[in-house]
Amino acid sequence: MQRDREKFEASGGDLVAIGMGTPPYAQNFREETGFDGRILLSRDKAAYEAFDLDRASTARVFHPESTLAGLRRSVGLRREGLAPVKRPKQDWHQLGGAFVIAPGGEITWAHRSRHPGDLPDNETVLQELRAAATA
Amino acid sequence: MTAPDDLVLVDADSEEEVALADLWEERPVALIFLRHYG
Repeated sequence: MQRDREKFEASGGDLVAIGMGTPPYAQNFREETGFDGRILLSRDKAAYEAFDLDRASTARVFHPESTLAGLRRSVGLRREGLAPVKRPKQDWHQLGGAFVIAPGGEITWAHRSRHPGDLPDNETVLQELRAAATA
Repeated sequence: MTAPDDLVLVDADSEEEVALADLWEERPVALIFLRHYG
């Protein structure tokens, strides 16, 4: 996300990350990823549940496709001197997702991860955000 | 499909409560739900 921050700022919409940890963990996330955008916290994961995001079984967390995607992402971040691999301290079964919401509250685009490596690329999110901004 | 409009989250920097629905009041918003981060 940080790599395309300028594109997000020029999209006509806003970008907000939602996490399930505490403010210190969010600060660690900033330091390790370089992300300087807004982060909101849903410590009880109520937001994850409200947006119908799945919790994966252990088998799905370690699905080969997921593991490969995670390794690629870690290697990429480490090349940039970011994101050392470490043990998770939150619910590592909880999957993420991405949504674009238009003024008025309509969800115009949704991506619910099927496994940890199932993440939308920035360009797709940007395209959907621009579309919502010009609708 | 309409987004849930009754959620209140906490801003990671200010630690103030934020009504999620305020985020899309004037402009569209992309919400990125992270997995664990640490």
